[in-house]
Amino acid sequence: MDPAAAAFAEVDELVEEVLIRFPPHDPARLACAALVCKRWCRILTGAGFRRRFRERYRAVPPMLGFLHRPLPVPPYDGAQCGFTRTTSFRPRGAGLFEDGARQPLDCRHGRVLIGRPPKVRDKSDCCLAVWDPVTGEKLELPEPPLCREMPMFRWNAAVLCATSSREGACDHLDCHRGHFLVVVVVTTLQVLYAYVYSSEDGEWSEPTYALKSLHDAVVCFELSEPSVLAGNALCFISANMMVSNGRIIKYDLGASEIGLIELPPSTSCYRDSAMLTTTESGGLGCAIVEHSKLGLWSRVAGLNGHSAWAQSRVIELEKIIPDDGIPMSYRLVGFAHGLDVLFAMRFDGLFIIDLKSGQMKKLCEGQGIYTIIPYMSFCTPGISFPRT
Amino acid sequence: MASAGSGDEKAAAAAMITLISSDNEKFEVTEATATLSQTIRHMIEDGCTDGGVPLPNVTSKILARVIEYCKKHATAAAGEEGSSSSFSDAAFLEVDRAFLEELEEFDDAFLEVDRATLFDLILAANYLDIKGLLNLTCQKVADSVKGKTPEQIREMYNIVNDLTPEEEAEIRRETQWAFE
Repeated sequence: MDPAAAAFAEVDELVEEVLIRFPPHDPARLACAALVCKRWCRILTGAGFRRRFRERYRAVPPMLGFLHRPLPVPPYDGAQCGFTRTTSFRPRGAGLFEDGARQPLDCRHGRVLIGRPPKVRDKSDCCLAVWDPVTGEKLELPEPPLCREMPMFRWNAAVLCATSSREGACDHLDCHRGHFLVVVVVTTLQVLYAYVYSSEDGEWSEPTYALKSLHDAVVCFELSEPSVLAGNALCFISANMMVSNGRIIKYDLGASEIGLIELPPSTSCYRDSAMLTTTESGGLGCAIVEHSKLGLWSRVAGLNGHSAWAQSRVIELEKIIPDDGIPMSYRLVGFAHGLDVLFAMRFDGLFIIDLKSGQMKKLCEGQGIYTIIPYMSFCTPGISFPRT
Repeated sequence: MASAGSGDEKAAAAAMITLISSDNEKFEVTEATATLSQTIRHMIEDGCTDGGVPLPNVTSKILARVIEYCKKHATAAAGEEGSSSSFSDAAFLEVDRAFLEELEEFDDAFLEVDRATLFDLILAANYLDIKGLLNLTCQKVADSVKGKTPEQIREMYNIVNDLTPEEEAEIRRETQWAFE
């Protein structure tokens, strides 16, 4: 046997120096390495490696794939939703979407929230559950005590790590086996409600609520768009298709307060779609497509303590699309926090827009995707083993 | 005073260190080249380099390669300092880019070695504490197992599988998708 290779294989630190350089977007390579020998397995599944591997990639987990939901209109409304792979990773237990009863609603900090898609005038149960695609575990939640009889009742929901209410308390690199919160926000004709489920307590909180002004009375969720977490506030958009009564429902996890924010001002009468984003500093942002122009907005603190919208950039999509220069209609369908990429549907397929580089490319062919929920997580072997 | 000062600087710039390999071969290198190694840097700081630095863990064959790497990268480090402090216009950025490309080409060519040499370089980089070289060589090993099965990895690196069937089953249960 080669003496240098033997000497190398005897030193844990050197083996780790090699293993830690495996790319996080190729979890299959890590899984194979864990089956090489005891030493490699012990290093890879150890808590120290898990932490150092995650820290090496500076708090931005790789996107291992995405969850998608169909357009809620014929002929797409019967189409199956599910998990699309973009790396070697395959989720465990993805068959849970096969019966068509539940859809992915949100995904954050390594967990996926699933439930019955909220529909207009549908008063049936939410059937919420939290699914971990790495381990395949699924936890069914008790039904939230919602006020379904109220006029114009609609809801939306989000999942997140339990420490999210304290900004900076967790780096969310290795917390997806810990406690979590599920937040359900409800719009009715006159009142906004928020209910919080804590996995630690195993029950729903009393609702937080706020009365709506007369001006906002008709604001309600049209469909369930995935939320964004800006600072320690969860933000939901009431309507993806831009309409004059579109609003952002903001739930502040630290202060347990719910309220409404206006969407950025209209610059044209041809608004196609809007998507909430987060800015580089972690604040609330909004992307709006008008014609084939993508406007990026950020929420900034104003002079008198009030926040206001400021347009930070405009990207002309027909100029960055590689194949042609024809203005076309785009619909925003998703955003990946941390990676700063937007997903947009065109008549001929799904596109990904990198806001950092200003580049755009086609991700796949196809039609009828209504929502993309990126699944971003580290996947190193040994996550489901007893903690050491 | 001023001339004496610059004379000292010149002396420091030209200071030479003698490195002695395990097979007793001597290599004369500049201090700038030698101090890419944190281990040697500490020895210089402690003033224990008179009469040469014995490196009993590194053969002359490997030490020659390590010095080749350090010489190239010491020049790069000096170049970076010079350009960032005095110039920032486009022409100099262009020069920088060309130089970085050249450095990348050097690194690629440097890694064209057999497996035994690669591991010897890793061991030497670790012993001498040369971060850049350790990163370069370990990344090469990490890249080389892309798309390989556990069996192929064991063959490549002469590793004996000592996992019990139970341990193997436990890992496979969690990561079955990786082998489909």
